Order: sequence, then C-alpha cells, then structure tokens
Amino acid sequence: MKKSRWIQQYRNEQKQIHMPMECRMRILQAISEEETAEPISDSTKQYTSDRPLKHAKRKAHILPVLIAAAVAISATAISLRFTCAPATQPDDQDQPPQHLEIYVPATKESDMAYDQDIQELRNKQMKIDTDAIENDKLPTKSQVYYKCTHTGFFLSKISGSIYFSTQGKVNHAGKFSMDFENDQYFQYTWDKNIDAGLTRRQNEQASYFNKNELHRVYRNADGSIGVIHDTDRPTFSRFILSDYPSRGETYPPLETDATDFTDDVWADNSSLDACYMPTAYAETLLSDFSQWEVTSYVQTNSGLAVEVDGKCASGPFSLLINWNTGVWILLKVFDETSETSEGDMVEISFWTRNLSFDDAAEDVPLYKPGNTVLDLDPFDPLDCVNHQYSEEIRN
Amino acid sequence: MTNLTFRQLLDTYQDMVYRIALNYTKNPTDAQDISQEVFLRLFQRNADFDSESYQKAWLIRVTINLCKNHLRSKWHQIMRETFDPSRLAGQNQLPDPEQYLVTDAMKHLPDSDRNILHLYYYEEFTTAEISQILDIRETAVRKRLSRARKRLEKLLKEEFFYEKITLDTAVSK
Repeated sequence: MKKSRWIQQYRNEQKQIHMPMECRMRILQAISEEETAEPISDSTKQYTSDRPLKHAKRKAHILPVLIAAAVAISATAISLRFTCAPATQPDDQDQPPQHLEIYVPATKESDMAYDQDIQELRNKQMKIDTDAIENDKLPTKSQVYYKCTHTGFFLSKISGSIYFSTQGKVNHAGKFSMDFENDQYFQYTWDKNIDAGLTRRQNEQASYFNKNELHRVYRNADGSIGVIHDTDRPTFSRFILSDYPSRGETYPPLETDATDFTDDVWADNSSLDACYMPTAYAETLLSDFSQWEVTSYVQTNSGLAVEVDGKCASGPFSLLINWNTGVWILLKVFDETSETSEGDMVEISFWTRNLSFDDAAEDVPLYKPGNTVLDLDPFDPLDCVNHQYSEEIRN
Repeated sequence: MTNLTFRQLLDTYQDMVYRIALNYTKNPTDAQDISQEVFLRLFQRNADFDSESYQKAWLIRVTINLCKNHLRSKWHQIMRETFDPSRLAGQNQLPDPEQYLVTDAMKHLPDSDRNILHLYYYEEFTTAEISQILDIRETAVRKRLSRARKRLEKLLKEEFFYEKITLDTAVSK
C-alpha cells in the first residue's frame, strides 16, 4: 500500500471513531459534581464521593491559594509539612504549582551522619502557620514566596523560601531555587538569622542539611522533580509538583523509595551480560524517556542515577533502570576510577526481574545472556536500542 | 472555567482525546475512563491557556500521561496477567479490523510508534510540536516516525494484506 493511500485510509478510519455519548454524559456528570462539591479547606483533603466510572480516581484537590508542602524523609519517614503563602508574581505567565511535596527517602540508616538527630526529626511534623506570617510574627525574611517561570511549554525555573516550624515557632528557614534551563541545580541555604536561635540539637540538624547546599536536580518524565543531595552519601529527594501547570499533570507521591530494591538487585550479578557504549550516548538513550520508559535520570559527578516507575537507585558509577515492564538494566561506568564525561565508556548490563524473556513485551529491547558485546552504532543511539539489540535477540 | 466554555471545549476535543486514549490503551473502556479524567483536569485547571494550540497540546500531553500511568498501573498489570486477552475478544476490542485496516495494523506497533504516527498523520502536528508534546528531541521524533512508517508499511504489506486477501478470497468463494 502506498504511503499516501494508507495515510488517507487511516484518516478516514479515525474520523469514524467518536467518543461514545455515554462517556460524554459521564464527563458532564462528573463536572456537575465538581461544581457542586464543597470547597476544600485542607490541601490534603480527598474527595470522597464516587466517580461515575469505576476505575477513575479523584486526586487530591489543591487549595488554590495556598501552597502546601510536605517533606518526608525515607520510608520510615521524616515528615516536614508546611504551608506557606502563595507567590504574588503578577507577571507569571502561569500559576505556580499549587502543591509541593518533598519526598526524601534516605538510602541507609548507616549512611546518615546525624543518625540520631535525623531519627528524631523523622518523628516530627512541622507546620508553617500562615497566620503567623501575615501577622508579622516572623522575621522580615520570613515573607514566603514561590515563583515559577515557564518557557513555552515547560517549567524552567522554580524559586522560593521554605520555613519550618515546630509548635508554631519557626526554627528552620531556607531558600531554594531550581533552574532547569541552565544548571539544573537545586540550591538550599539556611537563613542564619533564624538558625542562630536554634538549640544545639536543632543546629546539628541544620548542619546536616547545610552540608547539602548544592544538589543535583532532575526532572522526571512524569512531571515530578527529583533531587540527589550528595554523591558521597546518595540520598534522594523527590519533589512532587501536583497540578504542574506546564505539563498539566497531577501525580501522587510515590510509594517506593531507593531502599526498596538495592539489596537484591546488587546481590547477584551472575546473570549479567555487558555491552559498552559511550556515556554520552547512554545519556541520549536515557533522555529518550518514552522510548525507554525511564521516568528520570541524572548525571552525577561520579556516575549516573536513574529512577523509573517510582523506584530509584544511585551510587557512584552505577545506573539502575527499571522498565515498566519489570525489566531491570544496570549501567556501570566502565572506568570506575575517573569521573565520567562525554566519550567515556559505561558498561551496560541487562537482566530480567519478575519476567522471563518470553513474557516480555515484544518491543522491549531485551538483551539475551551470552556475553556478547554488541557492535553499537555510535551515531545512531536509537538504533542501538531498537534495532541492533532486538535483532541480536531475535536472531 | 464556565460550564459553557467547558462544553465548547468538550465538543471540540472530545473525539481527539478519546482517539488518542484508544490508540494508546487499545481498550474503549479504558479510553473512556481516561477521557473523563482528562476533561475533569481541564475543568479543574484554573489558569487560562495562552493559545488554542497550547490548549490542544496540553490536552494531548495529559491524555498521553494518563494513558502511560494507566498502562503501568498495578491494576492494569494485574488485569493483563490475570485475564487472557483472547478471552476478552469481542468485548472491548477496537472496531472491526475489516473496516479499520490501518488502525488495526497500528495496534501491532509499539505504543511510542503508534502515538507518533497518530499525532503526525492524523492530528497533523509538526515534528517540532510533537517533540514538545512528548518531551523528546525532535531528531528522536523524526527517527521514530521513520521507523514507525517502515514498520507499519511492512505490516500492511505482509501480514494484514495477506490476511485480508485470504479472507476476501475465502468469502468470495
């Protein structure tokens, strides 16, 4: 069939597909319910009424005026929850994210420098009292702002101040900024004026965070933002920007964290096979999210770290990927003694988890065991994945 | 957003959203669920769109993301593992393959290929626009488009035409 013919045929076919009237009615019913729903006064409040469709879920409704932010560290969880006043940036092209959750799962207890303090911190819930801000009970610098800048379709910058308080009293404050267009750095600095009034223990806690003033930030394909604090002691943070205005997505916090899988993944590498490709091309592949179904990745000073499907892993010289099909890939920097840079080689190893080769989706470029080093075309990274790998497998 | 505005948007985009969802999920029930969620989010969105094209791109982006979420959801995985797809034949299938030759052939393509073909040839987005919508590089879009075309042409040439011709011959006899 000629190209022009199948294109025309396809268009004709698609024109015959219409949304069923029943579906339209359900949408209008859902909107009608939405209009009559009671105002939400708490950012964490969930809708309770049933949706017309059985599979549909209501996401958390976001209070449009406030930015609710929650910091949760690890599965065993430090949970810092704060609510702060909104950005008042009349020049903003889009509204700022209305909900910010900061998810900080730690890798291992033993990795924590201030283990006891952190453990205590985990048990605290901190909340900002916006009334206190408005009543000027806080220092001048406590004016909270939160600004998002957009370039075209995507979020390019976020900056703001964060305040933490216990029992109504602010004891931590800091500023943060993310610039996705340029450095993609996340910077968090503590306000010394406020920190000066802290107790010794609180200061130690602040010091812990101060050590991580510079972070790597990566943007997930699902719209959320992830942070790796420190490559020496890899600790992940996950920022969930709900109602992410530039992308129109709302995502709940992930249920899993870096601690979920590292042990068993790293425990046995006997089934690994390896091939090699320059780091730069690996990056290209990884950035091609929808191809690989990788939800995020980051290039650290000493290696790569990625997160896929809600699970993440990091560490010097390693990269771990989880396909949504259940397939795992491990990338290891070939030369572990030096920092990676463009042109460096990384070892790419594949093995399966939960799935046999036969069970895997046809389009997943699985690599069969066999210690074969594939001859990758360095100028065609997509082909490296989609053709050469799969051809190797199928042959 | 007023009810009237919303209804106008629904009229304009309901088929587009549904088609994309159907292309992705290959299941009308799932496509309806996703369509509903997309329009609910549109309704909940407080900010106005800068332009009509941005609005359309937003809807497509949300639809695709929701489809991806759905496909990787535990619910979907369990359903896929629990139920033999062949048992569901006839219940939630796309329209008759005899009438939907190319659409049916596209079901056999990877999600990413199918999606790009649809956006390019039906929604008539440029590769640059698709690149923005899917958040991938334009070169990757072109690459995939080319690959998807080849795959589809191969399918149409070999498998589907062969089956269709065989079936037509059998019917005529």
